[in-house]
Amino acid sequence: MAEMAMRDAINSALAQEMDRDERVIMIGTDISGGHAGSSGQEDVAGGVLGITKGLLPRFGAGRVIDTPIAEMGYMGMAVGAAATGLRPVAELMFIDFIGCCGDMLLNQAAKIRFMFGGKSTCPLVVRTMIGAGANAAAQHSQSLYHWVTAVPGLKVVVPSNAYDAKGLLATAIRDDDPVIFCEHKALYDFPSAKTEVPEGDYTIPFGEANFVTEGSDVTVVALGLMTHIAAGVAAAMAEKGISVEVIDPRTTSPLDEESILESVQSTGRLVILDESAARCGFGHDVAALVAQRGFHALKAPIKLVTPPHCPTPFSPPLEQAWIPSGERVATAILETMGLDGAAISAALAAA
Amino acid sequence: MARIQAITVPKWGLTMTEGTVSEWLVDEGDTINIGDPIMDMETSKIVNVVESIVAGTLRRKVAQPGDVLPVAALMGVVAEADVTDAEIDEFIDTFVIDESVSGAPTGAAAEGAAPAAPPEPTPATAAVHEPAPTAATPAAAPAPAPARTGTPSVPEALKSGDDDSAVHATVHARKLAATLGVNLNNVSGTGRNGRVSVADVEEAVTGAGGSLPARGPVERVPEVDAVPADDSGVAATSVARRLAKSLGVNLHSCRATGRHGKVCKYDVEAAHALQGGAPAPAAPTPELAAETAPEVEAVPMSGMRRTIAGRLQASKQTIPHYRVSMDIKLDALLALRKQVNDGDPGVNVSVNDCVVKAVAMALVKMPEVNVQFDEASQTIRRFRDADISVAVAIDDGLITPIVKAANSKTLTEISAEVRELATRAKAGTLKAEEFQGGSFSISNLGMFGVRQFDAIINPPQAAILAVAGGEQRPVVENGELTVATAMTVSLSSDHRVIDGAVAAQFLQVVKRFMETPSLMLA
Amino acid sequence: MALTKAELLEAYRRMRTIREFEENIHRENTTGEIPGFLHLYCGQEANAVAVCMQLEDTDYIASNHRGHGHCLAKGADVKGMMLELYGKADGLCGGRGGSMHIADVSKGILGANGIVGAGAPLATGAALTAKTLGTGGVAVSFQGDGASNEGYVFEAINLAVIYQLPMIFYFENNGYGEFTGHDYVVGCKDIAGRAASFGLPAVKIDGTDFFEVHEAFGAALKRARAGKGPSVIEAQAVRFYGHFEGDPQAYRSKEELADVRENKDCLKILRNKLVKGKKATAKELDAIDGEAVELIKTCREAAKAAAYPDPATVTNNTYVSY
Repeated sequence: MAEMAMRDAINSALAQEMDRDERVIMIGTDISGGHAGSSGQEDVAGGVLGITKGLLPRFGAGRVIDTPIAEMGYMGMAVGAAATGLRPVAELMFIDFIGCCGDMLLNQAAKIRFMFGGKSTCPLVVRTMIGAGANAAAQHSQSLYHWVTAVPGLKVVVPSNAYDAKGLLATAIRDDDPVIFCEHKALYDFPSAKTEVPEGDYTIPFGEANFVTEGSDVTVVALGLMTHIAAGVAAAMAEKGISVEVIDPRTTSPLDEESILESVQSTGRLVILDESAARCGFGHDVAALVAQRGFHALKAPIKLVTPPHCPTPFSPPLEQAWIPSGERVATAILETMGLDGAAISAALAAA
Repeated sequence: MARIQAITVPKWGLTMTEGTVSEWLVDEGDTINIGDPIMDMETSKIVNVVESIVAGTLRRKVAQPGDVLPVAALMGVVAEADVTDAEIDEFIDTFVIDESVSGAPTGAAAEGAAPAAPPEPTPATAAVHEPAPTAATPAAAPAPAPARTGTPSVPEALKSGDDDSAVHATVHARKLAATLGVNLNNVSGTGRNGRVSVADVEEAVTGAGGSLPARGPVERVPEVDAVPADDSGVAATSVARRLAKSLGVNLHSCRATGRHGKVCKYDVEAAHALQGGAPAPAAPTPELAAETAPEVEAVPMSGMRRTIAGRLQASKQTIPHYRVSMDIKLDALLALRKQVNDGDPGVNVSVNDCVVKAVAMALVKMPEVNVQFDEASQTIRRFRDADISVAVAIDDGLITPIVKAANSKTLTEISAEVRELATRAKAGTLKAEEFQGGSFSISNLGMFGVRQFDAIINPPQAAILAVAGGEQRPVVENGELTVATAMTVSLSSDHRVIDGAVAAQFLQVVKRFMETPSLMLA
Repeated sequence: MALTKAELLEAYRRMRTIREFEENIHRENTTGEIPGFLHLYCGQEANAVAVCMQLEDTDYIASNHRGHGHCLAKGADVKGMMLELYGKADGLCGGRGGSMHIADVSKGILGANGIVGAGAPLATGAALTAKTLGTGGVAVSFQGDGASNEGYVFEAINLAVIYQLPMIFYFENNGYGEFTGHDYVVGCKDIAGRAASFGLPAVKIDGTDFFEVHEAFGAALKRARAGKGPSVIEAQAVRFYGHFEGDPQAYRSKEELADVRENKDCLKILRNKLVKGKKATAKELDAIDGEAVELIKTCREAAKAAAYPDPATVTNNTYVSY
């Protein structure tokens, strides 16, 4: 088993599934690049961040289909293809562009099966980039997985490491429902997202959380990049004798409600670390779940750590202030333990 | 029927734990029936009447006014005539509080016990006992608390099996199974993709006849005080700042509804009320008080005070009030009243009762005054009967219980009803429907020697009669100066729905009934 | 390609059935028994029928909000459609779709669509499937003059051109997008002319003439099947009723409405041509008329009597697995 970066794990899953099933095709803008009319070489790009490089030479332009910058048109084509026998993996370069193809995901892909009385399927995967941290500013940094999670008919995946990314992408491609696969751009080469990845074929079921750490004092729910921040805080807390259980739900739809509730039942404390939104976000959904079905286990109010309610800023110090920090998570954890402000400051200073 | 029965403290609602005896309504030796009011009892929420659920002769009052007693405590003893005082003494001595009713855990015996089942909603409880020596045995034994031992009992059948590491289970289900020694091969998973959950493991254990320790109550961590102690930076009016200081309210916890975003006096009071109206710092000792008592003391408004303030301010500001006054001679009415009261020692009709009667009859004659005004729909709601709200002063406020259909009631009926309503108003036991509504109000300050006053309309009603005191006044009648007993009444009316002439005519009718009271019988 | 008498009678029957279906809905809608929005196809029947009679079940169409005619022409079950419009459990979509989302994928129908122009990219996807899997199938999107201004319709045409997909974009220009004349909203007044600039054949035809539609579409279909890429057809059609049922069409003159019924009724035109050309007798056509009336009546009664779906099944078919 080789250690792999998340970018390579995703590329490898795509190749594996295209090998496995000839109905799997890829559609997206510049997923290979350099086609006719360009004076240089083909497939030198492989997507803006090179994730799909090498697939064009292997599977040909008939299955690795570069498109014009016309998200609504090619996403609609992907939906139509999915409804008629192909299994397209369409790339929406950044989830921020969802407005440009919103109808095809919101009103077509998500609803075809339901509206047609169950007589059709739509095995579409939309791979898309999310997340802040790359100084990509307000229109290329959002984590809008909570938008799509709210739409019945769509499944939503937010992998946090290489192993999960490959297994979840394979599941997504083999799933007969439309899946929005959200890749955090900061994780492609993130050191702690590198994991051992089996060369062979494996899948990870949707709706089953990964327990990043097991602990008995506080439950922390986090997705994507946030998982790694939570794990760092958990390690620091362990040194202070506070045992933190970090749960990565991996998919927001379906959501592993059971694991979250069981964990809160055993710890009595919940901190949610979520990059999606300060209002009506994924974290608020988890908080509502526990408030409704796990309230009696709670020893302290639920704490939510999110970015502030403003667009992602460009300037590096501003962006760092925007992204939920380990300090804020640590403060939230200590507060759920009933420690007061002074103790928190002291604990943080000592950390 | 049992020969000796206990009267015990009832449990009104799930949260009641104790009650204070206000007053016995029956005496030792009285015969009482089921449903009879036997005592006024006060709880932290209400004053209520204890109704008897036993019948017989009250032989002993065990509880005395002022006693604070737990639920199910003994308050009195009812027994048959042939029961001796000695037997009753023994019954009292051996009485044991039924804890299934009181719900009060005592000592180690109750440790870890499940909370008592919610009590049946009975009007009052009474443990019914046979005479000694079986007196200590409750007639209805409390249901035993569900047996929950501290250690789990897992049937052996669940423990055996092949390696279960490949069974699809949640992390916590696997942990629980390991703790209990359950082999997951013996548990059927009901989760997504057949996954075994904690609930599935628990279900397997209990389903196979085993048991699990009960989950203990959750101990909540105390809230971290997120409010900075220093509130000097908060924009507030100087009055609000002083009040906050005296009440111990942090200005950070107040909303700022004042102009320019300042915290104002009202905000401090609201925050204070929200924090449970934590009492102001302890009262200083008397000798210190003389020196340190502030020139102005800030007294927080009670909920009732605020309601009165809000409603009457709105009434005065929005209703075009005008007043019509009239003098009414009372000599004939006082003579009639004396006749009525002398005729029956159980009756004590007041002048105010007569005013209620006269006004009720006048309202039937002039239905245009017997109205409510619905501003929202711009309609006048004209009432068939005269439902008269009678203002009653109570501690820190007033309330207006209603004599319903007073036009169809006799003077003595009205008199009895007003007295009963006033008593219960002061005791705080009026029901909402007894003081909400009404088609007309009467406010009487005659007992204070007031010669004349104006009242503010009680919306949505459209008129209120202010009744001053009766007094002997020199009057000129047929050119002769004589002395008559007279009083001045002032009618405040809402000009939107009652015009001046109508108001004046209405007072004429009232005057006619009062001055010629035999007409009220006609 | 000369049509046989049987084919011609079948074409007439389908057009007549659509007409009767829609007229029936027009009448019945006033009773309040049919829930939701209804957009009737009356006046445009020649287009749906002349196109779809040349397609196989393995070919796909994507329709629009005015989709009853397309679905019936492509072979959707008449009774199943009627039940669906009434929201009944045994409707084509189990009462989940209704008029605007009526579909039957087994007949190659990718659905009516409540989003103007959305069918164009979807059908492009079906054409991509046909090309990728080499099924030999084609895809047709039906859209109106209103949809011709939607950005993703342009995107879809461009995609079909660059991938040379077996695709026909069939624009039924009935003169009105909702309540607004196409002259106002189509800048160049010429849908086919504008489409031609995308680099594909685009023709303008008379959509009230069954034979002209049949011939033009036949040519485009032949190109598509031969792997020669997509085409655009703009058919000048007429709409009898308002944008939706309940639209009084005050924006159209009485004279215009009378004229389209009198002189531009594709059914009347076909009937005259059949009789005058001695392809069929009036008696034969009258018999078909009577059968269509009977069929729709039977379907209507069945729809009224049918059961509504069980509310307990409301979430069914949201996902294949969850």
